Amino acid sequence: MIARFQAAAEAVGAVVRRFSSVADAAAYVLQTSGHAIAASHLPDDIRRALSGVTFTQPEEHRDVPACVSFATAGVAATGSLLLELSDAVERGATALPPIHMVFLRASAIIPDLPSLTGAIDSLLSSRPHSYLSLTTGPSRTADIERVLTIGVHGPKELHILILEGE
Amino acid sequence: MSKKIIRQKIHDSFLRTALKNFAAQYPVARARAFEGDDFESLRDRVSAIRDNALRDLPDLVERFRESAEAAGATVHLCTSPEEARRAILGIVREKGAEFVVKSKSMTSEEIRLNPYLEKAGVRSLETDLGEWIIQLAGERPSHMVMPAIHKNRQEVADLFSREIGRDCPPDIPSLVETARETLRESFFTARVGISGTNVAVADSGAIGLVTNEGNARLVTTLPETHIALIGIEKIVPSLAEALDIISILPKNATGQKITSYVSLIRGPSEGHELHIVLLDNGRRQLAADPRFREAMKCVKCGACANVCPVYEIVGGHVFGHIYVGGIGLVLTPFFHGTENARDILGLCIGCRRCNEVCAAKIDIEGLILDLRERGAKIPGQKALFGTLMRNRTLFHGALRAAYLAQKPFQGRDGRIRHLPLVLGGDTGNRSLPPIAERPYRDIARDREKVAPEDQGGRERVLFFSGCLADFVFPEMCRDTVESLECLGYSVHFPREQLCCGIPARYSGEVGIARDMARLNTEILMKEQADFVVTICPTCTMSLKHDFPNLLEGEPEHHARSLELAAKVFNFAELAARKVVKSGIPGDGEPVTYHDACHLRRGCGVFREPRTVLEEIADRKVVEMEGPDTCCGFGGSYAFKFPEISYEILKKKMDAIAGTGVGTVAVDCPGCKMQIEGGLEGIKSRVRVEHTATLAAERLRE
Ligand code: SF4
Ligand code: SF4
Repeated sequence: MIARFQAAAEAVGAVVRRFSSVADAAAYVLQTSGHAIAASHLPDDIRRALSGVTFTQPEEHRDVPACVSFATAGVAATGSLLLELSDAVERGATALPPIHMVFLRASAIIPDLPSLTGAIDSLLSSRPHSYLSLTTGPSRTADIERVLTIGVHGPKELHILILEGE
Repeated sequence: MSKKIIRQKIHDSFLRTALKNFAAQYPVARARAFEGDDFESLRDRVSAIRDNALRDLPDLVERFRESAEAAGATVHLCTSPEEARRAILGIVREKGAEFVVKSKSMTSEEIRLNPYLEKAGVRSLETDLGEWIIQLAGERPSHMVMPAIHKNRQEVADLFSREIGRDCPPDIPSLVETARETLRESFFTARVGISGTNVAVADSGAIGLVTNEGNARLVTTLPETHIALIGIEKIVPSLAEALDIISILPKNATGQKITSYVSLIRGPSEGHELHIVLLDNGRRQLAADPRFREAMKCVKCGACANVCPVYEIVGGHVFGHIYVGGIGLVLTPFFHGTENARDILGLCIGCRRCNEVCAAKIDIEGLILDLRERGAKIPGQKALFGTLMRNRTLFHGALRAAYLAQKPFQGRDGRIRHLPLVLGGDTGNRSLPPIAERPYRDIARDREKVAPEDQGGRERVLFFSGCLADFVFPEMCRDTVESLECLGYSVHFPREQLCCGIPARYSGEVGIARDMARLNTEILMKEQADFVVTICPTCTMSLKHDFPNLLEGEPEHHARSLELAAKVFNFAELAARKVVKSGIPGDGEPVTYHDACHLRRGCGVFREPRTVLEEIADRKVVEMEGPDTCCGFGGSYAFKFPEISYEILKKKMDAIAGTGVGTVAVDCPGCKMQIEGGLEGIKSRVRVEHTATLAAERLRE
């Protein structure tokens, strides 16, 4: 299933890396983005591993080169990530910078969209308001002459960091 | 539709190339996107979801409103475009905003929101790249999903240069980057963001946005007020249905398995406001209409435009109004008045490709026909269709007169290059075959006199020839009868048979079509027979589907028409029944096969003709590119829109030439007339023959 996810995500232009430890993944983040990055909500183990990173303030989000976020689930059939981004500031953090890096636990990869229905429904109703983002590959357009061009309003690069063997 | 605009679009070489390339790429991408899915069952589901939702529409609207409000959204229920525009302006004013950012919304085009806001002093900026281009050009979208498909990079570069006051090179990646940089600031300064919505969920009050560029996420995130505009038909009961729609939409729209972003939004984020403007604008009323409610099932994927041969020639500024493509033709009279619709309804050639791909399984072509029936009638045509067609002797006499009248127009080879009188008009570069000196009905009379029908225990077939074959291609009729006889049937031609009524129906004369249905049913059911055979797929569709529909209100005739419908088959179907499959392809001279629209999509018949060609005619079949794309005939269409018809034909002729074979087989006299005329016009030596003729040639040996 991980391989299927990887193939589907790469087919739509995402960069996929598989790591056996959070520390390795954190090192990849540092190396890809430099030090200052925006972030959405991260689980504790990941936040700890990213101790070398300076997390920027909301006002700076529009100028930082990259952001990190965490996916609740991955969809193998399409290479999609389910991001819970109900907080507008966190959402902005994942929408503005040119590089978007997403942590995904291998165990959270499910086969297809229909099998995600229950999870989405409970995420939608578990809080007073919610904003879920199913993200597949980088931002794209084909509005000029049908030529596919990557990175129009959203991130130009999407890196998926799969955490395996935990 | 003015001839001038059509001509201008036909000669817009960029538009033509763009649409042509897209038409070539789209089916490939679409097929790949649906790989592993069962499209038919997926769209059956979507169709059922929409159907049920439309039935419960008032209730769904209420449920959605309650749950959206429970999640903290403010819901504005608006009956008319005016009300919706006022509600939106009210919110904008209340926020003290003079400037709003927008992401793509067809519904906002429907209510002409931008001009209204501008007039009220509010600048409304489109941030979807295609929409921005269109806005800068002061035009309207020419496609529901790809609004600026008619603009080339140079035009875009010129528009951008003018807008930002520096020179932008016509290089696509750099133009895209320019859009990113130029528009970025506006997301921060706008206090209100306006978006459309692809689907709304009644039980949770969530709305779904399906996008690629990422601007919709910014529009719904950075400004503290978000206004979502939704047509009420977009509401479904629960998430499962929403996901079905979300998953068919991008596959059918652009051939993507899923778009870059699917956002599900329930209630406003902390510190934000969410206003949901629910637009009716006639939707409730349309949903209650037993025939046209079907149109409301549309999920706005744009596929019906993507595959339409006429759209491919003229683009969305001609083929549609605000909503374009096949469904655009249907929706325009409801949303934008008959005034805007009258001109464009005639543009459909009736090929039914749109029906084949529609994500909601809408009978788009049927709806277009029915709208024409309800709409304006062309004066004078009543005399031609009414009196003439109902009366066999008169009709016959008129055609005889036409036969004589055409004489002076015939070339040395007997073909006609300029049409006289009734049929007049510009036939483009095609020549037309003449009306035969002796129609088949006369030949049949003599033939059956000389060789009375020998039934001898054979299955009996009644031959319904259709007018074109009868009067223009009598030899095609003879070949049909002789082939079927060689194959073991006994065949009789009932001489009282009349026109099938399709030309009348296509011109909106339902009453006349109904008379023909009744009369023909009586004539064909009078005699004992196992089958009724046709050689024109349009007649087949008429006998099989239209007769029972037309006679629905006359119980006795309706029952008879259903019995008749069960007996009607195309020549190829009856011939293929007698084939003992050898599995060895024919080794005779190769042919290529053109699938008639009404045979392939109207009757679902495409294997049988190939079997007949290989096994009976002993030919090798070499497939052309797009064997089932329209040839551009469409009955009177070829005379009403000769230039469009000819452009569609050119594509077909290129595909034929590409095979390098010397014969094209068809199963429709109309296709034969069209393709043969075109090939003759370019001095090609390729023969065009009905499958029955090729079968007869071999069977006679
Ligand atoms: S029937 Fe053919 S011509 Fe008419 S709208 Fe559909 S695709 Fe276009
Ligand atoms: S009518 Fe069908 S094919 Fe056309 S846009 Fe609507 S759903 Fe898509």
